[in-house]
Amino acid sequence: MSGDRPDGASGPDPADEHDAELRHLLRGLPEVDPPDGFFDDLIRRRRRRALAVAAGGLAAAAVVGAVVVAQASGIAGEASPPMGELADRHAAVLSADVRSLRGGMDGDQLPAPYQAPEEVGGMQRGLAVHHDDDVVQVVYAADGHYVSVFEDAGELDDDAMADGLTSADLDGVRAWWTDDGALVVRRDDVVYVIVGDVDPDAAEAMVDDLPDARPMGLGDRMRDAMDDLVEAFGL
Amino acid sequence: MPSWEEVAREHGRFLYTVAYRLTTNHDDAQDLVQDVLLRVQRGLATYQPGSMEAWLSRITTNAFLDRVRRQKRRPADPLPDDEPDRVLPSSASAAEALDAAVLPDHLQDALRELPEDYRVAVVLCDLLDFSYEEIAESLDIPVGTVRSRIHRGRSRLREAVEAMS
Repeated sequence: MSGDRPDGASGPDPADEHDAELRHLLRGLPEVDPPDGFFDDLIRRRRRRALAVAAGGLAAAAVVGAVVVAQASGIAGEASPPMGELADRHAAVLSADVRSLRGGMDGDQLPAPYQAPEEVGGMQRGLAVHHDDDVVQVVYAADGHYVSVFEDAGELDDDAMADGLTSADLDGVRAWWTDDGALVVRRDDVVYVIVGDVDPDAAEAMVDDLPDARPMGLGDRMRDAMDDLVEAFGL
Repeated sequence: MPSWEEVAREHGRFLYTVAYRLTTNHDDAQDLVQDVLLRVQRGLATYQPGSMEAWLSRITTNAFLDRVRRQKRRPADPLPDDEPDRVLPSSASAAEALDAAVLPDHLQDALRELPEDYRVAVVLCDLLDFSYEEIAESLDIPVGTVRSRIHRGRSRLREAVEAMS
């Protein structure tokens, strides 16, 4: 208002007009985009941290032991993994008196090429079982929740997996959900099945920490070397 | 009541923009956003349904000011408080310069070049709609100092924009 002007002049105050113009320009600045994936990464890290906090003191879950499990047919192959059987294995571990178990091992003792990270998705590695069918089961624990991660080398038949399972893409990782909330994951030449008391978000956080490819064991490396020799010399 | 993840996903761009305006660089904006989301997580239980963006602006500002206070415990260049106010000419030259196509990059650059105290006052007032009294309370300075910083900040912005145009 002209009456408000300190110089007593009439008409709009130029300074006010300049301020309004500047404010208009500032507000017209375009929004700023964060780097790609910034919030996704942030959310994922926070989920893991929350799980890790909840897992405090669970080192005691790392009990060495064994579970006797009936002969199974493995995970990888032409058809879907035997989900019911894997669920039974998970339940068997949880129901067992760990002090009576034998034949199992600590995750560090797993033979190559198995990896079994010490922590996945903020859950701590506990009992590990190397089954007769060469499937490795590693139990992870956090805050009273227990999850089995089954690991096996090999491929999956995508068409077979699509039958009755819900396909998912977890940050570029091919996965399938079962109706019971288990998660089947294929990473390179390894198949993982996550079974247990875990919500979908936590399961996805675990997938992030599962290794892509298994390092070759000594036997595999020697076999590969022999194959190279055979190929090189046309044997 | 939204979860903090929903807040991050639905208001993340707004949050990041406010953080970037205050810090003027991506590295600090990312750090600030992480700090803000921690506060959001802790404060969601007390959030009263209303303007989420106003609430986020307040949290972002407080988090930013806390960082500034921590930084100021270290030696830094003092603000030129004894500098006389620059009075805009009454001619239309400044307005014309502003009316001319001012590129967003120019304006953002000018904002970045402002002394931090001036920039914070201008951003709080002109972008986040804080009143002078609210700014004074947030920054713990007298209202007169708020007025002075905003005035000087705007003047410098105009000069910088004119020079860039």
